[in-house]
Amino acid sequence: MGDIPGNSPLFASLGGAAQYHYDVVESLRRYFSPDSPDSLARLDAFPGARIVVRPAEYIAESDLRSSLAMLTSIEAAFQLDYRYRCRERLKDDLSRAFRAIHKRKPDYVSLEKVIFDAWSRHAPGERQLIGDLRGAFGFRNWLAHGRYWPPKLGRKYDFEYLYRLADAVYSTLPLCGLDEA
Amino acid sequence: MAVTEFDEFVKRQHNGAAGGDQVDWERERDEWLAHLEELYRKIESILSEYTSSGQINIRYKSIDLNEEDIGSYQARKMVLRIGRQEVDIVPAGTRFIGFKGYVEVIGSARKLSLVLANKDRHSTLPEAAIHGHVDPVTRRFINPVKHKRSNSELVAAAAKIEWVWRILPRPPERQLVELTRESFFQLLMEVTNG
Repeated sequence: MGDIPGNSPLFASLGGAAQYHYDVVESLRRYFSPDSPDSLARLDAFPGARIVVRPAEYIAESDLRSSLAMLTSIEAAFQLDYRYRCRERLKDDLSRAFRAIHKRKPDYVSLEKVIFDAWSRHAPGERQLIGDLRGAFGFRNWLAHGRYWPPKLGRKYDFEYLYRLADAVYSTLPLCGLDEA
Repeated sequence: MAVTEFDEFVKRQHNGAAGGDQVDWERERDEWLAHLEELYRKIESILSEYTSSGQINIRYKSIDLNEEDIGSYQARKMVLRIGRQEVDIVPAGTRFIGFKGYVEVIGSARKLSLVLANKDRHSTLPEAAIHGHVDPVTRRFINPVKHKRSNSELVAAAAKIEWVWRILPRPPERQLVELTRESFFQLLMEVTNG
């Protein structure tokens, strides 16, 4: 299981990210359990207030936040790979395509419009995986831009799915330069 | 937006829709729903001694699903009532990173999942990740499985795949678990904190 870029040491590996996520979920469950003294103390802290505790909503919110962290790590991995291939002048078709793009657009390149497109063309065996990533980044955009519109997504996204997608990406695609984050 | 940029966008979408693989999505959906019904029959059989004694109650509810390429369709979710506990077995869709289907088992304590996997597949990782490697010089991904077979051979191989339901472990575990009477009981205990 490889290292993942662009995050704190806690998220330095996929396993670390999963451990963090499931620990938070378990903590929320225990905190809101009727047997939890912390939960009762919380009610005492707001005397007279009618507090409706919805642990499922807290857990769902936590899932969305962990999902966004996972997706930003994947984005960082592809951007680092792009820069590495351009800088190190690798000789494969994908790296050559990236250098041609970099020549035309030396600044920022779009992950979804440019980088995924090049991967689809030059790593055709992995087209399905890149297609799954494109779908997931529709979800990422909805999350990252404040969720102010009803998302039109082609499937249900959650942390578990995105973890499995990231695991498949890091295990299958020859991403370069990830240790430079 | 420049007209040429729009032209490229339309071409990309058209090429994507045409796709090289020519998947019959209606057939994919129907096969997935048939496998889902198989799963329900298997669970009914596993729980039969408890349902016949009235200790466990099973009912079904219709739900709407929406998937890319397939569109909207209806499926059934299974609801298990075990005393005061309720467990929902909810189909999530037919596409899940190389699997043919994905079902969530949601209890009061946690959620676990079942996947419809190639009988030969025992890991959550795609086949290519298990058999392939990255050439350290060219940075090309070498996938001996893909390189050995032609497209027609791959299509023929896909038609012969035997699909089985397996339990998806919680990350970071990768080893899929056989769906047996014992493992299903264990799964129910886990999702209900039993």
